[in-house]
Amino acid sequence: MQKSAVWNQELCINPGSLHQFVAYSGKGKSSLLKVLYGIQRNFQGGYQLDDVDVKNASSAQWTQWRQQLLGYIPQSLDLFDQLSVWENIELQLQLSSRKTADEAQEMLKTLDVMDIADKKAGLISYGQKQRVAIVRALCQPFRYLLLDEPFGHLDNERRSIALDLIKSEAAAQDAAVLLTAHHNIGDKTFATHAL
Amino acid sequence: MRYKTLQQLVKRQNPFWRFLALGLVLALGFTLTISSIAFFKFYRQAFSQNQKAHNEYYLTVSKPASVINSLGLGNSGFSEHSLNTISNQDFVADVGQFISTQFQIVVEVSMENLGKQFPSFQTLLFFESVPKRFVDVDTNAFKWKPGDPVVPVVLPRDYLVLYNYGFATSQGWPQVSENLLKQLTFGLQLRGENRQEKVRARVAGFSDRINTLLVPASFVQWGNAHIGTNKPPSASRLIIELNDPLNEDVYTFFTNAGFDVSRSDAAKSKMARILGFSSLFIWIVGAVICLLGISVLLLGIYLSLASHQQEIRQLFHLGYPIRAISRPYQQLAVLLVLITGLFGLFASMLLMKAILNEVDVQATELNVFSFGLIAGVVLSVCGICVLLWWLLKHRIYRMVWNKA
Repeated sequence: MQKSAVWNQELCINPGSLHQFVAYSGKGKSSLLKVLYGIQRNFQGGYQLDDVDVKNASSAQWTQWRQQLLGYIPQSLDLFDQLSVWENIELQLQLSSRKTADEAQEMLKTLDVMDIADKKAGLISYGQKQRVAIVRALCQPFRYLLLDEPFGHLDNERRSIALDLIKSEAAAQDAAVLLTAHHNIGDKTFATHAL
Repeated sequence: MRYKTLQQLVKRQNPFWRFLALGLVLALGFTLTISSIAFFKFYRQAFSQNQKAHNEYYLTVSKPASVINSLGLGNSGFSEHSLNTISNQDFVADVGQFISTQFQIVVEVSMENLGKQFPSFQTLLFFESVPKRFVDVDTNAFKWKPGDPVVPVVLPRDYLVLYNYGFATSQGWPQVSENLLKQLTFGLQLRGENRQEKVRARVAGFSDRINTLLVPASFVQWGNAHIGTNKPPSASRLIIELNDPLNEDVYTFFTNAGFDVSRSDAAKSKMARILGFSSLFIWIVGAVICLLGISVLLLGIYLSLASHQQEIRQLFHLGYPIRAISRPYQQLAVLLVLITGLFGLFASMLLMKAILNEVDVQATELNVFSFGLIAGVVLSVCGICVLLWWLLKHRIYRMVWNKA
């Protein structure tokens, strides 16, 4: 990432690296990830992804990046309330063949949400939604995984399990992880950047 | 099916019943539009080339009698200029002149050999001729040359009907059939100023087209030259073959020129105009309903897109291509238009069949639903589908891409 006029920081993200962006509300944590994921395109500064200046990228190019390079969990989680937990996962599985249904179910079991697979996403708790969103994001191929406050409603134990799962999936693909949080998540493997 | 869950998501957001009422409106619109075109074709064909045998293509025109004519002054025939003017009209395919005999004819009818109930009588007659190409009976039976002993005569069929159901009934005379009349011969006394002749005549046929006593033109020419005054013939009436009997210019032209045209012919033209306007009106109503139906369908889908735009953007952010997101909506719109379009086509066919049955016309007699009409309907429906396909994709593109 080139120099950003908003944060006055120059950042370079290498594959396989782990980063956490820590700041209070309103400092631009979500905006940063939205810019990196292409949801927010009206920004000042420069951003190159795969040596392509993203300001000239088409919708089709962004679709391709999102299918193959970028994984993302927004703060709002973006689950589909009228679909079941499993159907939300299937939406991702049908986009790529990186994970099988069995492997996805294993991840749901790891995060202890397999028993609610048939429940409508709109009827589960926010903490359960966060874990489902994590599994969905891990079902696709990625080189950069962007997580916007992914553990806000998880207890320490579940947060630890989720973090280990994320790190192992990222390591398997030699992918970088960028997550945002209000407070340091306490994992020394993550490089901390204060906004 | 790829993206099966996406299809399910869109289906749940857009239950089919929501579009059922819309479908009914569209179906009505298509039915009216197609039916009006089919009805237009039907009434045109009912007066068209295929129906030429019913004589809708022939018209008799005459100059109205005036006081001057009654005083024996003036000319009741058509001038060369008038004939040329008429022949040069676009709606005129052919013109024939009625030529009258210029001598007295007394007919002697004796049917006593058939039975005492059949009368004998004498009466004065006249004959006319028209060019053979206008005669609607077997022309092999309708020819004469000087020296032939029997002159063939063609009677208007209406005269036989008038005799059988009018005169015979009132006089207590027996009715006669066409075949019986054709078996008879009767005597003709031809009386001119300086010469008389006697010949025999027989009925050679009955015409539905020409309302006069027809004899071959060769007989009229011979009679006028040898018995009559041998004056140059002057046509007082014309028989005209039209290119298009429904062309309202026909009757306007003759009326403005001061010629008499059969009242029923003028009425037919008026009826054709009314039917034409009616078809056009129904077509406009049908087309408006179609357009409104399609607009409301589009608006209905746009409304659904608007109420689910967050989910649509989520799908795009998840990595779904725009074409995959728009496809279920496009399929919904296209399916609805295809089903209602086909329904409209079949409903129109059934409607036209019912109308044809009502007017006692076999559907096979008329090619109302020709390949051209069906192809036109199919192409129009496909065109609407293509337009809807593009509009929906464009809408979703703007929804997910321009917002950022």
